[in-house]
Parts: sequence; C-alpha cells; structure tokens
Amino acid sequence: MSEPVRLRSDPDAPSELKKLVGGSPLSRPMSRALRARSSARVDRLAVVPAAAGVLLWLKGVAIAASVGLGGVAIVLGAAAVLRPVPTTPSKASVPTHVDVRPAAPLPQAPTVKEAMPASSVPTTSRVDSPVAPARAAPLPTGSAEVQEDRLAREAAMLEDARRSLDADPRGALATLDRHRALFSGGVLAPERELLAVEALHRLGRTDEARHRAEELLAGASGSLYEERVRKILKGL
Amino acid sequence: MPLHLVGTTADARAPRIDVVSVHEEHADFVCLTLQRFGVRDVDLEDQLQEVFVVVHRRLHTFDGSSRMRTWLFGICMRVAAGYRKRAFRRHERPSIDERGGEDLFDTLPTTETSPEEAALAKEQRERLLAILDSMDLEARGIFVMFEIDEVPCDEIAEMLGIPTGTVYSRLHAARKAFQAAVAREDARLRNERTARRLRSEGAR
Repeated sequence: MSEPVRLRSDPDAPSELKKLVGGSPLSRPMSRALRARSSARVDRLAVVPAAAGVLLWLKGVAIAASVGLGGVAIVLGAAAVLRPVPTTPSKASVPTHVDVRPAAPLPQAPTVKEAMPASSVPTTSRVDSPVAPARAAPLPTGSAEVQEDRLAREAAMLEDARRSLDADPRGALATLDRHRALFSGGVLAPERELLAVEALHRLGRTDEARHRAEELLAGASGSLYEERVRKILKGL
Repeated sequence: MPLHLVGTTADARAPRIDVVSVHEEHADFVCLTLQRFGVRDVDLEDQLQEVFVVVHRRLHTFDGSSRMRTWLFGICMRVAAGYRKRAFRRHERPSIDERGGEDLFDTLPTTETSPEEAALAKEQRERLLAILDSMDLEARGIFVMFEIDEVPCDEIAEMLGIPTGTVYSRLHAARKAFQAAVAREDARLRNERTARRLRSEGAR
C-alpha cells in the first residue's frame, strides 16, 4: 500500500488548504539549552521522591515514637497514681495518742472547691476501686505533651509524699504544700487533699485534718473519694 | 537515588530504565509531540516537565509490551489534553508570539523574506492553530505529523503502535475533521466580520 499524497502536493486539494498546511513545520527540535534545563529538572525529579520517602519515613517514626512515649508516660503516671492509698491508718502506723502541741505554722490550705476543678472530679461511684487519677482536664494553655508532663510531675510529687507518710508525715505534708503551691488547680488536687488529711491526722492535728476532710468531702460528693474521706473522718 | 526499574518484567536481561535514561533518549520526541498536540512555546517547558513527572511516577507500569515511544505518545496526549482543558477553562487562545524564551529551539523559522510576507505567514499560522485547536486531539496529532511535519506513515504507525493501514484510515478521518474545522473557522470569521460591520453601521 503506497503512502497517501500530502495535501500540499495534491493537485486536487483546494488551494486554501494547501496554503494553510504549506508553511513551516509546527514542531521544532528542542535547543541544547532547553534540553539541559529539562535534564537538570529530571535529575532532581529522580532524586526527590527517594528523599521525600526518607523524610516521610522519619516523620512517621517521629510521630509513632512521640505517640508511644506519650502512651508510656500516661501509663506510668497512672500506675504511680493508681497505687492504693491506705484508707485507714493501720494500728501500727497510727499513733494512739494525739499530740496537741501546735505544729509549725503552715500555709493556709486551699478549699476543696479551689483545689478541685469541677471537670476533674470523678463522677463514678465505685468505692472499692483504687484511687484513679481524675480525668485530665484540658489546660487552657499548652500542648498534650505539656499536659502529660505536668500530670507526671504532679503524680511524682504525690508519690514522694505518700512514700514518706509513715516515716515522716511532716515532710510529707511539706511536699503536699509544695504541690498545692505548684499545682493549685492540678488534676490530682483531690488526691493531694486526701494525703494531707492523712498527714495531718498522723501529726495529731486532728481539727485541721477534720476541717480539710470535710472540705474535701463537700467537693468530692458522689466521687470515688467520698467513701474514703468518710472512713477517714470516722477515724478522726 | 534514581528509580531503577526493569523495562520488561518478563525478561530479566532487559536493560534497566529510569526517568533519567528515558529523558536522555526521548526528550526530543516528547518535545516535538507536545508541540504537535498544540502546546504553545510559552508553556512548552512546563508541559515537558509534566510529562516526565508522569513518566517517573508511572514507569513501573511500563512492561515493555509496547515501544517506549508509543507509551510516551500516550502520556503526551493525556498531558496535552489536560493542558488544552485548562486553557479552555481560562478562555485562553495563546498567540504564537507568546514564547517561553528564544532559546527553546536552536533555529527559528525565518523563511519569510519581507515584513509583509512575515505578517501574512504569521496570520496564516494563527489561523491554522485556531483550526487545529478545534480538532479532536488524536486527529490533530496524526494530521500535524503527516501533513505539516511530513512524518512518514510507517513512522507514525511505529510511534502509535498501530498498523500502517490503521494510520491511513485515521489520517483519512483526520483530513475530514480538518476540512470541517476549516469550514467552522471560516464561518466564525464571517460572523465576526458581519458583527463588526453591523456595530460600525449602528454607531454611524
């Protein structure tokens, strides 16, 4: 089969069409300059996806790591806080007599309402479960990491106080006062108040202990702290 | 690190290809094809890049069952179709005066001997481009290759990956489409002239 005759060479084709298609070619070979520019772009193109892939991989690893660490921090913080607090002092640890000598003056404790933001008060009525940290109320400023860090520091401080409660209730109370100064509206404020009542009781400052326990009870009504505080009040 | 892929999955001995080697071998072909599909000089560099972006992204799907040129021709056609759609949406009708830079081509067509001839040639070229822009993209490609750039039919067949006889039949259809487009363009020009005359008569 022979090649068709082009319009420009076809004697039967209308002259108008011949004129239209008879000009110079529509496409021209690229210049060396254009080729060099295009080649440079393609070289970059061949490299970029690999680099982007590595960056994406690193980003993914970073996100996974931060999420994982955040989770570990929360679990550790919760584990520290969840350690059960003795609800009633054991006979061995509770002094049989009440020391009525005035202790060193302590800063005024905040009221329970101040210490315990409404959003942080647990609403569950389970009484025999260990003390769980109140739900972390969103702080007005700071990211989730900052919140987690704050919660971890709160928990660590309360754990220090709890550890020293038997051997050094005065030291424990001092730690709890520092906690109140640093985290006045902290998530774990109810737990702090509970420990403070315990410390005051062990120090023989029963009136102060009762007063704080009643304030705590007023703020913790219906919460999982209620039963524990009532037990403490009974023993005072 | 460039992406290395085996050109033919079935043949382990097939040469490894990547976007750099495809560019090295076929950049001229892609550049010519884009122009044939109506990409104007001013946009040529961008569209060239777009084609190789697609090549880089889709090279793993090229299994060597067709020629690389055929595969690239398809990509050029899709890129040009997108380019044409975008230009249509923007109501653009680029002039041949719009150039992306005089260094796009080593030689510029300077066959005209006088300013009058140059003006006439430019007018003819713009008319031709307007007619071609109104044609179906595939018909335009074949028509331009054969009638204007004088590419032989067997080469077109190789490029498109189709039998030469099919090129003939498609060329026949493309010529008809071209003639119809010429008639439409003539009618449009006549209407414009009439409207201009009526406006000027009304103004008087």
